[in-house]
Amino acid sequence: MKRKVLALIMVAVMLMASFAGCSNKGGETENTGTGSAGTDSQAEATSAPEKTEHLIITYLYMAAAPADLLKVQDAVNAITVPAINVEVEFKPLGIGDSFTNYSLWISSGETVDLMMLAFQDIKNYVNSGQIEELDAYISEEATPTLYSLMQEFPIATRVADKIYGLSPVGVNYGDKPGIIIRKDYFEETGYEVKDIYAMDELTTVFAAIKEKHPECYPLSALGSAITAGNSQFGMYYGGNAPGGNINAGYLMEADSTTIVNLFETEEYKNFLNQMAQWYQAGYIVPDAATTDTSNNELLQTGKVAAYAMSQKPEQFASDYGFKVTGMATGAGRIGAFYGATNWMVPITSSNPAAAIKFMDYLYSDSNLSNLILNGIEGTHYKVVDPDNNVIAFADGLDATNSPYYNLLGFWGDRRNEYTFSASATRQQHDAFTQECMNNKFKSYGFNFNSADVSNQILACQTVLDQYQKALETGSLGDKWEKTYNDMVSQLKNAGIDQVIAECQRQFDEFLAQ
Amino acid sequence: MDTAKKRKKIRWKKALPIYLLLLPGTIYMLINNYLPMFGIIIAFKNINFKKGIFGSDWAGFDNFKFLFSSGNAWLMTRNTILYNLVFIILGIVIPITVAILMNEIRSKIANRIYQTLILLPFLMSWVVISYLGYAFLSLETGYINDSILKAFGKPPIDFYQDKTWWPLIIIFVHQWKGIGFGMVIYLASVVGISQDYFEAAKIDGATKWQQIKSITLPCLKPTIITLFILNLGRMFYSDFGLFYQLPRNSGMLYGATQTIDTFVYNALMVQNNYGMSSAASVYQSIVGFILVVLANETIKRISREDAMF
Amino acid sequence: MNVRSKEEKRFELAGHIVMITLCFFAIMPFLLLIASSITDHDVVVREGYKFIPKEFSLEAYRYIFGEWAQIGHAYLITIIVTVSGTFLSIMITTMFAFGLNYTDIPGTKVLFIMCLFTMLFNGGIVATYYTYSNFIHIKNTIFALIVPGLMMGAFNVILVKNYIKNNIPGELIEAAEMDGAGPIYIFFKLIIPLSTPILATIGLMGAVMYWNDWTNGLYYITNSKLYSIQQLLNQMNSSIQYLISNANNLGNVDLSTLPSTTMRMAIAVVAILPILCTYPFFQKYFAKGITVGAVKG
Repeated sequence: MKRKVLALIMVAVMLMASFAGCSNKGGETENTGTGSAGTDSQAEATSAPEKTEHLIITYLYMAAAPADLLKVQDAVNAITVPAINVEVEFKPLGIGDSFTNYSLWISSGETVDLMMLAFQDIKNYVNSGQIEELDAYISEEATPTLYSLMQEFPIATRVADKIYGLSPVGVNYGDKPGIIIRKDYFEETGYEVKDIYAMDELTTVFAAIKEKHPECYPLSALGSAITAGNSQFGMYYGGNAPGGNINAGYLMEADSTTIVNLFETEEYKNFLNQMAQWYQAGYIVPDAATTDTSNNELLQTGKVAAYAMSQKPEQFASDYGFKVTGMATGAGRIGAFYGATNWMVPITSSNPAAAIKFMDYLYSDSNLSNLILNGIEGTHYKVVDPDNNVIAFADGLDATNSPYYNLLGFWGDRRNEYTFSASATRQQHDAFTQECMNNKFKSYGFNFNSADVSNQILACQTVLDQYQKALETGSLGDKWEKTYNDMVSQLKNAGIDQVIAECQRQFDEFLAQ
Repeated sequence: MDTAKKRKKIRWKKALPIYLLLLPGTIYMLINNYLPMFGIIIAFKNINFKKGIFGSDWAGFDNFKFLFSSGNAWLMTRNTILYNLVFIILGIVIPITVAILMNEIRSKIANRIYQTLILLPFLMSWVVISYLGYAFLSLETGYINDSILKAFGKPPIDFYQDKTWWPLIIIFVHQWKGIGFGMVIYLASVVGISQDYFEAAKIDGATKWQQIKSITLPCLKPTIITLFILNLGRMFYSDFGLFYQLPRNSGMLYGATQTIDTFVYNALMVQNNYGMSSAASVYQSIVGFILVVLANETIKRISREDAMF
Repeated sequence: MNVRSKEEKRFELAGHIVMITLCFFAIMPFLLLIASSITDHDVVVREGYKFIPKEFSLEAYRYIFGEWAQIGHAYLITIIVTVSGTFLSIMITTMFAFGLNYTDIPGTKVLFIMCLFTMLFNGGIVATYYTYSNFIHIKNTIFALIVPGLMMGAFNVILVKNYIKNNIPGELIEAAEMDGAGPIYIFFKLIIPLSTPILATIGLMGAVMYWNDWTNGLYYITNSKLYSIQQLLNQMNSSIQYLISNANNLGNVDLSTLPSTTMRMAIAVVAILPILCTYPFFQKYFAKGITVGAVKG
């Protein structure tokens, strides 16, 4: 009887599996089918563009899809159909949901032509074969704007030397270490204004602030902003991670060619010591490692006075009711660049060539990108300062009730786009970019192919997940050294040396060219 | 010849309506559970979506390696098992006690109020509970540090960096959330016990204690055993909200709070590798399956009618 | 007969003490939740959560009612899904569990083992998503919130099956069969009325699961008209989390308009209240003492 039961179960499962298998294969052939149709229509496009391409493009939002999204979509099509014969359909989803949904859509064969990848690692998608290589679609003739921009700015994301993603053109490039601090509190301390401050000068300023405002914690060192790829060390001391991820090693100086294990350097130990001292002196928020309040909230309510942030011009434009200024702790620099946001084309796309053509047009036409970013002029916004590209909400609207308020600016060439706040001018942005470009690390233009050491990287991430937040926020007080030693030895066991060696090997090859 | 035909006819007459009753559930089970079963092979494949699930290369047991190669492999397994053992034991003793006591309370209004309130934590989502945990345990402003410990003049405890208290915290919160649920399940059975038994026992002069021991508990035995076996099947699983959201995924607490599920989640936040997540799931399933079969066989030898299959 | 012994009284007293203690622990955090949702936001960030708000502010609720179009709609969806889902779930589960008890009919044992098996092995999200999107085509419909994973769980089947086997006397069913009743008649006229405690149990569990579920919405629904209230809350939280942990890379995104801590508290309160109110509805089925008198005679 038992054997009969077992046998029946086996049969049922096998039947189900084979049924699923047949349909799955059907889905696969469908996929390759549309793939070849795509290349056909590309050939058609060069001869006689009759059919309007229909593109499905993801539209990421924060809390809810804007009410007027369809209106804007119509306005977009009013531009794109006559110009490049492309019809756009937005596919809205929450930014937090994109993490799960992209792979699910691709795995089930759903047609999407352009996906905005925000804050995820594009390598995951490359390694599991989910996205298309874009090299074939980008060329001087087919996509002139993209091509020329690519020469100037790092907007193409490469993995193993093939292009897989396109980033928006940033308003500026590079990073400058330092902190953003409340202007009023800083001026109260009477400390002199300099270009670059040393770390103990920061301590002096913190002490002065704490004296005048005892219930305020001068520094917010949020654990939530610390990820395994994002050490706070760079925020204060500079340097560059050639592999993107700190696990793959660090270049300490602009002219360094040797990649070191950041966690074993004296500088890193001093950094941890500094944070621990600040924490113990009461300069850092006590629950820094675990709170999920944002820097903005903390600053606005007066709980903190400063936080570490790259000294980019737009940081100083924020208005909390009080102004902020910066205290830089190092020079501007730029090194290996791994875009945080990437447009990618999934393998389920019906027409990759048209998708890239749309991208090219988006980068070149600021009307289009302003439309998607800010809505319809007159209905949603009005221009306040045309020279500096500043706009304000249309009359009667504000951030809470505007039917079109897109906070996520991932579209096109950001330099030409309108902004709501009197953010820095184009000149300021360009000056910042210039300063950073004048201080290029040797890793500029390098990208690390981590496919062979992905297991070690994962193991290192696990170790960092456990210790990094507590250590880098100084939360352990004077007992940090033991935990630090544990972390270093566990990283060694996880294979960080192998990852760094592999990165060095690829880096040497890159330098030899 | 005639009677044999008649017997077959009668059988069909009875069987058909029963098959009808079984039909919706069967269809649902096939669609919801058995159709997607092919997904299990993802655990053994190096999945490449260009080739599709069935066309991808076989990876053998490669996807399982990450579960065992981490330095924490033993730690997370130990945590998972130990907590589950404690939960199983407490999950039998406490809800039954509460259900029996609840049944003794005569006032209907009191009954309603108690049951509603005790069930309250069950209805809350873990995100909310983690905020509330923070409200109590936070170093600076948490209720315990700010109001209780300060009143006694003791130094504050950094709960989110110090793992010593967490086994207690986790067990407490788990019970707090689960008592209502457990009580409801056992209460349904307790309430279903015919009053005739109790009246007969009272006439025979049995005390309350004796009544509980000889009537209530034996009537609950099938439910207890069933729940016990089912919980064994979940031995390698853990409540994600309890072990990840409540401790706010604080790394310093991993020694006391990391389970197989939280480890897998953290690893996959980074790599988003379906093969690996599927492998973890298969790993947990197989262990659970073995435990369930073993437990059932053991129970069969002790009291046959209580075994599940 | 109505004289209660000293022991019974002691038991009841002990019961009251235990219940009151449990209720205290149960309700305290909930009160904290409500208190923090009506506290002024700046105070919460600066001084944390307190039972008695230092400064009252209904700003969080004002925001919610400002968004009432969206939140109200989400409520509606959640209610529809929960009510219909729970009802269907009770029906399917109980019919199935009842049928399983007829072990002399061929196939019931197999079905039971297959049902158990589903508790232990799972095809995973990729395969499930594929099934529901490509085979069953319920993506972006309201059925996607009702069907996947929730309509019949093996756990509930086992609970009901055992209850029927242990608490409904076989003699009753035999008596009905001898009177010429078929299984379907027995099911509707006998089993359902007598199983109300367990039906209320799985009904309550089902209702809570439907009410709290956000994963089905996350995977299958992109049409914002079909969002449930938990999905809304969860989406807000995960978006905020994403953005905060990537603030360094965002440049000049203005995070000050994100729903703040107190707003998230208020949304959580709003998300819990209805399910709280449904419990008393189920509660009457847990009444004590169902006398089964029909056997005598």
